[in-house]
Amino acid sequence: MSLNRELRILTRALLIAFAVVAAASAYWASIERDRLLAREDNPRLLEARASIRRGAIYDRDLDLLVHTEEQSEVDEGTQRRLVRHYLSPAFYGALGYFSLTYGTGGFENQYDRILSGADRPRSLDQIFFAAPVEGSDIQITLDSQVQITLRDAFENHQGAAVVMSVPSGDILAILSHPTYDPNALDENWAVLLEDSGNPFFNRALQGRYQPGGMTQTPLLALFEISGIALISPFPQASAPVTLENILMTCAVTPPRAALTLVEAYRFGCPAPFLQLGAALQPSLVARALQQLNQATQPSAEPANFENVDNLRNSLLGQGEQIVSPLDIALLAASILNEGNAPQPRSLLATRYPDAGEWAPSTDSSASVPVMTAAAAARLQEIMALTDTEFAGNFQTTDALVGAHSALAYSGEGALVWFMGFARMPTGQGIAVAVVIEDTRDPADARDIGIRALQAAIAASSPSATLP
Amino acid sequence: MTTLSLMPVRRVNRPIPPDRVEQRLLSVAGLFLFVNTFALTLVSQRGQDWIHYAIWVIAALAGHLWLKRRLPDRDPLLFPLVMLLSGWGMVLIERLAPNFADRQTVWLVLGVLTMSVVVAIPNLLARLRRYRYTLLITGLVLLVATILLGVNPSGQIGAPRLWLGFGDIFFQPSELLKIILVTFLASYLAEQYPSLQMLRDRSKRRFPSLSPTVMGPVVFMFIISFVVLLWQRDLGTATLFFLVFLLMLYLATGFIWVLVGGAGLVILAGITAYFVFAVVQLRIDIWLNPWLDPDGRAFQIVQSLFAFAEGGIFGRGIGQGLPTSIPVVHSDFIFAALAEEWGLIGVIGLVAGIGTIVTRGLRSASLHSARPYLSLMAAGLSLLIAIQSLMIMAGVLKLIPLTGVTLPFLSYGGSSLLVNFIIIGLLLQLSTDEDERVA
Repeated sequence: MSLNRELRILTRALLIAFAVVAAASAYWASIERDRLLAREDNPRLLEARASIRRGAIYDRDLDLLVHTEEQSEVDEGTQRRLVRHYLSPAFYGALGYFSLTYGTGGFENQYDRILSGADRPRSLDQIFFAAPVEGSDIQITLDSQVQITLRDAFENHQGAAVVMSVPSGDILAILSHPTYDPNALDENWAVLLEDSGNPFFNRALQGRYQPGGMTQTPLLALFEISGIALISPFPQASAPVTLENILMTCAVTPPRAALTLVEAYRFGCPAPFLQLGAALQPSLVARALQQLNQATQPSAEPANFENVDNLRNSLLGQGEQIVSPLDIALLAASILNEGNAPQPRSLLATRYPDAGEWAPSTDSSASVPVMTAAAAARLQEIMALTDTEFAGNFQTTDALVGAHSALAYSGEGALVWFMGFARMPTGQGIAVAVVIEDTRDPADARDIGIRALQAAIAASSPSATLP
Repeated sequence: MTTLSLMPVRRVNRPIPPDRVEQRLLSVAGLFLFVNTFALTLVSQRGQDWIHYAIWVIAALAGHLWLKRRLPDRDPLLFPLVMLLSGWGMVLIERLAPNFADRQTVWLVLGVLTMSVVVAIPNLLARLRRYRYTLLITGLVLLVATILLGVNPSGQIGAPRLWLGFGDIFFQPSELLKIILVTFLASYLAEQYPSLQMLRDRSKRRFPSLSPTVMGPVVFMFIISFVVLLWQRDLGTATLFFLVFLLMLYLATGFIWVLVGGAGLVILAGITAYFVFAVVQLRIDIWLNPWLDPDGRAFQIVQSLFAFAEGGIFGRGIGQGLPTSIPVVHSDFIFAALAEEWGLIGVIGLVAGIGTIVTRGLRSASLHSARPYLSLMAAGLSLLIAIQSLMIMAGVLKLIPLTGVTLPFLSYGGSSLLVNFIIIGLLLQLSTDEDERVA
């Protein structure tokens, strides 16, 4: 008698066991692959990110703002790692951050694919020899002078501002304050998260504020189209308006009680706008107020303007409608650009690693009609005429300037808005929007707006001219 | 005068001589390692990898020439496959833990030398059979010595002390104990083979009486395994001993209930160990659900599964993955590292390689099926490689709880490599059909 039968059985059983091992490998390597590789606790994700030499970021004058370099000091036996350096404090927050632990934010997030080289196929060196991935450099539209001016102007305030070139839509400066130091993000992350000033919140883009007196600009355009006389005296124009428990007054105290609509607009007095707006068709008012939401989507459920309270609140800019500083900048830009809002743009050009030439960005879209050219021209004229004191700051520039300040109420507090533009003799244009959360004085916002416009006029060289 | 007619020439398909087959397979293995060493050099920018490769070539050539002289009728697949796997392991260790690569290369050379000595000892198998009790006592002494004097080279407090140290050299006696136990069992069961067969005939495949002849060694082996588990907390070795023994007992008796009963004992022991030993409880818990604590207790197995996923079908390529994120990857988890860098293709190649070694060993067992000692010896040695490989591969893949044994020929570890080369030396002897090997 021999062992052959048992040996045969054993051999088959072992071969089946080996086949099961191979099948289990295939299961993890194919069926479960995507799920496993996408897990955040997979160190390969982190390692892959850490090995990438991210591209640098330059401003519109090709001054270096951010770059990546190897850590200068490492312990013996420790692998040298790449470190991201943010050079200019004025750009903190605007550029965002890159962290192996916390990911990306701001422009670092918006242009992550370019900066991390993910927009290009892997080279043979990378596929076969694990050569490190290098991202492309980017040139953004921000201007250092304007950005530094804004940063300095906001030193003691909480709020946001946007400066935009017209008609190109180039964002020349964008600021949200308070902000954070992206060079020390990992160390300060927990503290920053707890900070009551919410420094990670980009107020310029993500901020949603009550427009308050900013509604007066589209309403003025609506009154003009509706044939309402803008220069006839309006009795009791400076009278305060009651909104629930709030007494809404003019943003700037007027010299007399009776004002024309243009004067009421200049002093930010709500009464005439409330009274005249309530007399118009609610649908017309709703359409006019939509001009305020060029960057942000209005709320999914449009306010029911058939309801008297809703209409009243919206006319005062204290309803359900909320706007961002970018929305207001786009409104100013559309007034300057024959009623068409340019599409905001922040990327000028890209450059492959080790390439000398910059490739211009093709990332541009057509402008969007917001109001008629006639209404825009009339608003331009009114805004330019209403504040002669403001215009006095730009006499040496020969620029046509216009502005509007407003007050808005938010909960227990208030905030102030500024919207302004400058049209230079060359035809170049600049639009500015400012919001300050910690003051009730519109002059504070206006001062920042003036400084921003002056800096932009001095530094700007828009790629296109206005029509 | 004779006329030569134009007869059609018949081509005779002569089998390729074993030496030639071995030569060709070794060349393929050498080419595979050359390509991988070259790729690793490009990635790591290190030159010393070639020294290890050169040593491997010399060891392979010397081993081949020695075998050609001493065992001309050997199985031509075993040595090339073993050299391929051990060379692959050497390249992996260079990649994963370069500091250990020199030492592993030295152990590889010692392994080939030891294997050469094993195949050269006349009547070795007969001698082993003759001195089986001496061997068993030696094994038990080693076990007791390890329990009393065992150390852990890492010096880590609380780590299993499975090594005996002689200066800077450490040896794991349980590795040698594997061969001793297989030899003893093959010899014992061969001696009992006629009575086992009679028992089998009487029972006519019904449930047999619990004969002391059968139950004696079962209890003995269970005690040894349990001692290993209890004192050394070495779950892997204990399970390996017991499974190999069960399968050898099955081969000798043909009783399927041996396997069923043995499996029941393993499960019972597992359940007991779960409640008694924290290390066993930990391994079973993380096996059941590693995702509950992926950054803590289940870190190793979770990282291993990431490695398989990262490798995909074709692998990342040598030096291009991140297998070093797995703790102790060069030892217990070298299979996961291989999967990450060579992908499923590499895994299938490895499984096929080990599977072929095992089936060739079992073929030798079949060759000697009329001579129970040789047959059981060949089967037992093959089972050692098979069960150990399956245990660690299945553990790394989360098919079974992790048992902490090495992957034969690939994992870092001198004792393991040396003992596996001894096993191959014995299997090479057993692959020849020479009557004088029977005592």
